[in-house]
Amino acid sequence: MRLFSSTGLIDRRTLLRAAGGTFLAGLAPRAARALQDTDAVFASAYYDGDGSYGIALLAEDGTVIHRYALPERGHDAVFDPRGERVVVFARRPGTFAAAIDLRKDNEPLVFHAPQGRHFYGHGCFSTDGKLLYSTDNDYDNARGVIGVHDATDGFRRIGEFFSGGIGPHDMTVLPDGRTMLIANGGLETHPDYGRTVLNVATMKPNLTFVDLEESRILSVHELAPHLHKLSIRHLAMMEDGTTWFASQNQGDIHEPLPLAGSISPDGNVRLLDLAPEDLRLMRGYVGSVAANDRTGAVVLTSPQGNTALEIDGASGAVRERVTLPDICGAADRGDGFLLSSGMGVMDGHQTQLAWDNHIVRRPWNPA
Amino acid sequence: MRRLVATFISLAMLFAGPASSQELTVDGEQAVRSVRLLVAGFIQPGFERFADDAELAAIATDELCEDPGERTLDAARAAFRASALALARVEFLRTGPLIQENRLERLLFWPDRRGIALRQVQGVIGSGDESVTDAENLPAKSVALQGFTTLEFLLFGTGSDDLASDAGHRCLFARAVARNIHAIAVELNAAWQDKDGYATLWSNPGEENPIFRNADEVVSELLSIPAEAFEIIRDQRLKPMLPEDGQANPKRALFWRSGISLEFVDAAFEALRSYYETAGISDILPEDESWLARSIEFEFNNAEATLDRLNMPVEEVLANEERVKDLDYLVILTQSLQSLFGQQVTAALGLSVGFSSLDGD
Repeated sequence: MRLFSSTGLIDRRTLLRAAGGTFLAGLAPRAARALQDTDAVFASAYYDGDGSYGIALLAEDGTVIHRYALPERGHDAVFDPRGERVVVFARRPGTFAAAIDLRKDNEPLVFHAPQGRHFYGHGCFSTDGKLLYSTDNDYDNARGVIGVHDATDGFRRIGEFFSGGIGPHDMTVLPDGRTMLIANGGLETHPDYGRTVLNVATMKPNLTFVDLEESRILSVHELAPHLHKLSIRHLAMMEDGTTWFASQNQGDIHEPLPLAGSISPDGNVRLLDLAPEDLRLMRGYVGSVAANDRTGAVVLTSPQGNTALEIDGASGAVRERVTLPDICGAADRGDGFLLSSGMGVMDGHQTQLAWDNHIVRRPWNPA
Repeated sequence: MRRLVATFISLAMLFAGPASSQELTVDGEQAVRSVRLLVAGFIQPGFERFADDAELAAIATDELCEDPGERTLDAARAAFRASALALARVEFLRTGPLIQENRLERLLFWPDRRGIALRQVQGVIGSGDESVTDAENLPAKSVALQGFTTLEFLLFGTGSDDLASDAGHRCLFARAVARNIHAIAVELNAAWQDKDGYATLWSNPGEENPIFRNADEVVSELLSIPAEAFEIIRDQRLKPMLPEDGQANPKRALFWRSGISLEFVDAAFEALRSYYETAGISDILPEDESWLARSIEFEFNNAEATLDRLNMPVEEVLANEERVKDLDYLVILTQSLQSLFGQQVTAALGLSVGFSSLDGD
């Protein structure tokens, strides 16, 4: 029997209970064994190298437990607060999302962004699990919106609100349950021009707090003007609501600009002051960020720089540097992090799947 | 489209052995030699020519304002076209000097999906804003007012024929923009000639080098430039031209007013071929991968033959079904060439081709 911290590992029995017999019965024997032997579950989107995309459920040790096919390339995924369902979003500018109910051995339920919108690849649930939020592009109006979906009714779209900027990417709901933090990356894109950034010279990324109950923007935080080409993309929240953010430089990637920082729930922004040598390793690009409350560490990964830096969250000092080609996926695990690469490495082992940029950990202690 | 490209990546390519054991197949000297050849034989002459042509455009616009007439207007328009085509030969070198200080956006604010430049230019013309007639004032203004799309509208857009008889505000605005373009071109040329500049950093990797630490990084830059260039041609030049739901809209093409939309693409393809040949990329491929050079040359030849058939204004291309098919085919060629440079040659030279870093998110 192992001990669990509030941010630690999930109880496999909870998963089995949540998953139900049919789910387990539907797994290959090896996968079923892996599930019984494991204490945690992660999810990550993948490419199988042969034209097919999917999302995999993973054990604590990174073993693939089960795979679900997706119509196209997925990006980030999110578990509901009870850990019973996982939703994966299409990579931008995709328009589908797929919900998998772990209690049932079923095909993913695929739903779509409405006309005139596409997903950016990230989302989150409301604290009660009844709503699913997605970061969307209202591309004809060059405006970021947060899509609201009814998670109790087939993820039907029931509304949307302004994200506070252009190009919302990652988002999170703070521990108070009513404040949402959105990373507006600032990049204007339109499906007519592929992934071309249409506003590099004038982009203005920000971090926006939104009150979900009153549907209003509480505050918008921009970095200093000379940092305006740092597209703030990904977030990792600590237990106290302090959220780490990570950026990608859309200008000269060789300029040593701060690529990460943290914002407290009251809006206090602190930039991470990395040594030039460490910044250089990241090549202007952080693909994923994860935080570990147990150890107070934060990991920043750069597939462009083939590097992951583990940072001490309090002091900002670099604890460890990992070199791995195309490293990107990161999730907290035990006293460290589970890391993956687009070259197929998961937790140090070569797999036959190319892992997408993110790994998400299933919440433990479901409500 | 992107998915199509992604399917070209085979598992074998993604997992060409444990990545950590992958090694560059060229030694440091070969890598540096390629970059030196490229800089001296393609990049520096390209920016020098761009600066020269931009100067000629500034002079021709100057003369138009001094002595308005059909002859000087024709000359200014011809000089615009020549300088825009010189830009086509270097604008894909989106590394170092061109991406610093917003130079690229100041020269070429494009795509401009919401027609910001046109709105701003018309606003300035309508208000008779005097400040835009002095090139010194332009760098501080909106990037949409400073470069080629603005100059094109002033010289070719609605009302431009009046320039033949009236050297008023519009002409002085055009003169300032042409001078501003020339000033940026001079900066670019100087930056690439600078003995302590980007060219030197790129061709002298080492521990003390702030950008290029080793040969891997040198070669990676060498190959990512053409790979991205073909993506730019496809997403920003060709696809906007293609009919949407059977509806052709030539006005979505870059430089439709001056009639050089296709010539611009042609100049870019020609320049990319020159890039490939000047750097001697076929010479640094391992022997058993030399077929890649033949594939690249085959695709360049296909593009050349296709573009020969497309040597006409975009309106004429779109009015002809066969020519539209040629455009579609060019899109496929850009995918193929992007994959050849960005994935296949990259992998053949021993660099990792990652799934996550292929097109960042």
